[in-house]
Amino acid sequence: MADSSGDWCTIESDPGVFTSLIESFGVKNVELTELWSLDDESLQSLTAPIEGVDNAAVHGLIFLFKWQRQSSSATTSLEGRGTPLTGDAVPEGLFFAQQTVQNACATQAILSVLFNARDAIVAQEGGESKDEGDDNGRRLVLGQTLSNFKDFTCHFPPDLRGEAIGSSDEIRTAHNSFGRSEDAFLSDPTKPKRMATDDDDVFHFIAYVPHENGCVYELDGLQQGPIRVGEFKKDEADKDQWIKVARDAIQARLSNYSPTEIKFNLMAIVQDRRTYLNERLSALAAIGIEENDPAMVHIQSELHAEEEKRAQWALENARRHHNYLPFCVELLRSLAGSGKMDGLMTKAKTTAAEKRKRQQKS
Amino acid sequence: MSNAQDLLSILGGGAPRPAPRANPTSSEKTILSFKAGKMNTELQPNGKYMVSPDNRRGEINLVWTTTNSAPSSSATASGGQLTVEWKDRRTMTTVNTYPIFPNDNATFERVETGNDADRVYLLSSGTNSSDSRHFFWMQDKENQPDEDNCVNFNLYMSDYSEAARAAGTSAPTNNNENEVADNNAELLRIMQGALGSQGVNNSEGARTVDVPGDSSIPTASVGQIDALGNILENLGMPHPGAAPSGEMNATSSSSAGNTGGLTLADLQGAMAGLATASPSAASAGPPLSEFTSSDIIDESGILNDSDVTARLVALLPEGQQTEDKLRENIRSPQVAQCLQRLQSALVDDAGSFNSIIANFQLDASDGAAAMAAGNPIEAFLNCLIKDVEKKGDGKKSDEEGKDAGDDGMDES
Repeated sequence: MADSSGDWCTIESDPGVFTSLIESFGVKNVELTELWSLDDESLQSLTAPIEGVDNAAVHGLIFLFKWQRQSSSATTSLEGRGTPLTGDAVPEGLFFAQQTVQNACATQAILSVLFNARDAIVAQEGGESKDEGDDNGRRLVLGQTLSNFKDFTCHFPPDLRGEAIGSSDEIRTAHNSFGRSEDAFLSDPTKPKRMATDDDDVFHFIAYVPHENGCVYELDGLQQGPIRVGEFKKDEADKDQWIKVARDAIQARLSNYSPTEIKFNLMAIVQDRRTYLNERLSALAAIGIEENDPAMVHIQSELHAEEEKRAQWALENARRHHNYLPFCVELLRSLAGSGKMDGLMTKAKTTAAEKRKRQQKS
Repeated sequence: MSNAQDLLSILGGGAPRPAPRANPTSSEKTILSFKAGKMNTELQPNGKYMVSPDNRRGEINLVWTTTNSAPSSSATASGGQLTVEWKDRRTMTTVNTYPIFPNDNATFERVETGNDADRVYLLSSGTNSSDSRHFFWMQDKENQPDEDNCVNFNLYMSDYSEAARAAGTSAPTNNNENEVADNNAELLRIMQGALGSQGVNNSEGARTVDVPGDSSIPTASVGQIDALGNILENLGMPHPGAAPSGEMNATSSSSAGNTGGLTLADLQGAMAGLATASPSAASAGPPLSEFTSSDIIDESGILNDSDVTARLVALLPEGQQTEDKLRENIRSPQVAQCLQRLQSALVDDAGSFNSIIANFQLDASDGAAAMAAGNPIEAFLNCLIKDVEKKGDGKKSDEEGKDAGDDGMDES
């Protein structure tokens, strides 16, 4: 069925949104996290986040950026970079899809990473048991929906894969559930969007993944195919090596632009932090460390922080799903009924005017 | 509009300066001048007057005319006549002229409007008729000089000799010309600097042109370019971009109020005055998100009313329907975005406005007056006020009135 971009709404580029989105497909053991820095230390903390854990899985990096102003080259020039691989040149098993729907580009980039994840399994054996061996928490669980999709499209050419994503009801429905709900009421679908579009609308997403052939690939939906950006040695001692290769490629890209030209963000798709925290707790307990030992206490507090983070994500997502229009109108109504309208209005006007002045000065 | 403020500082601050004019026929001196707008008074059925601001950027000039040659009925021992003139700064024309006679007991006083931020003044000539009462509002960004201006205004109006003295201390004619020439040179320098950039930074909503890089180069707004264009025409000078002729053509002006000498004060008026917030922006009301800021909510005290909080909590997302989550939700970006969208929908067109009114079972006629005045947000709030009154939710009431927001809204 032909899909139009109008059927995919825009969603926020937020780790909580993306994590919840993929979890809604049944994906497990994975979360998205923002990267604030590309220095060696930050990259290392991805694979070695706490003491005793040095091989936390990093499935891919996502680089998102948007043009701040009309740039002379709307698409990035390929000078000095590899050529997109097509047809037989594409390595066996590397999943690449061309982007067909603008609003779906975030979801598509994330799916690209998930479909390329090494050692992914379809479903977690035996449910929630934690004593399956310490690989269990490490391995990405793809879930039935996405596994089916991957199988279904494995022999498709990239453009058809993109179409398949664009027309997947399941994926689109899950994606749209994170869009703004009162839009449907407030804006007339026949009129062009009047409101200022969110920043997220025009972000472009590029994924970087390692492949089992020892190469790192850049997956840009606007290109013809994946682009090889470097090699890495699968070195047990240096587990974040592929990430450094990806980092170098990203920095090379960034060097083409001045800071005012683009606005960008970096995210990593990593192993769910709670999984290795729990593993660590079990491991320490197994060798007889007491619960009040500083090492244990530290991990417990980290776990607690993770649960808080997730709870906050859940709160925010619930707000994103919620239609606040009745609430807002009732809030205004209550203010109106306070009998203090004139005074409040005056105060609000003054504050607004002051803000305008400050903005004018800056 | 930092560019306008830069120009102000180039021009030596925001203080208004008396503008000496060179007029060969009679010697007219403006002895006091400050930026002010007019106000319209409308007699209402209840016998009271409704005073509303006229948006035009203007200037009050207190002009002393020495009439040595021809005696007139108003000539006094001091040999002159005082008039108050209101001038439209954009068109550079004097629109109103009010003669002030010594026996008029004319006064210029600040009016208490109940709002400290207002700077409304009343010029009245003491005869108590409506013809002789004129309200003005100060338009200069700075309110410091208000008091001095007011004092001087009253001084000159009450004492002709003071007015004459103020006029009499002006420099002799040839110095005037030099000063005018200096002012013109300064004017050109400023304009070439201000208008040297290629882009037009539009603050008045017509069109946007991309300015390369960030705007460290001062750009002029469309309104400023207009005003400058007028000044230049009146001055008989070529527009920016061409070589300045340096000649001053005193008789080229077509407008009555222009006696030829363009001054820095005039430029000040044209350029810097545009930085003052226009009254229409202020009266259109604050953005709804501002109206629901924590400050305002606290001041309203609505969260102390258990009926109100109960109604609000019921409309929160599931899992967050508690009072302690209420404030967090009010401050959330989702609520702010929803308010922004609501605002846009109300403002954009009558269709959206009406459908919102209908959906929350409000009565559009409650907001008709504000709508007619072009204030849809105010109209909406008026509808809400009336709705609260009808349903008795305003103060604590015994019955839990059925909510307007309860029915008809699906989760989509």
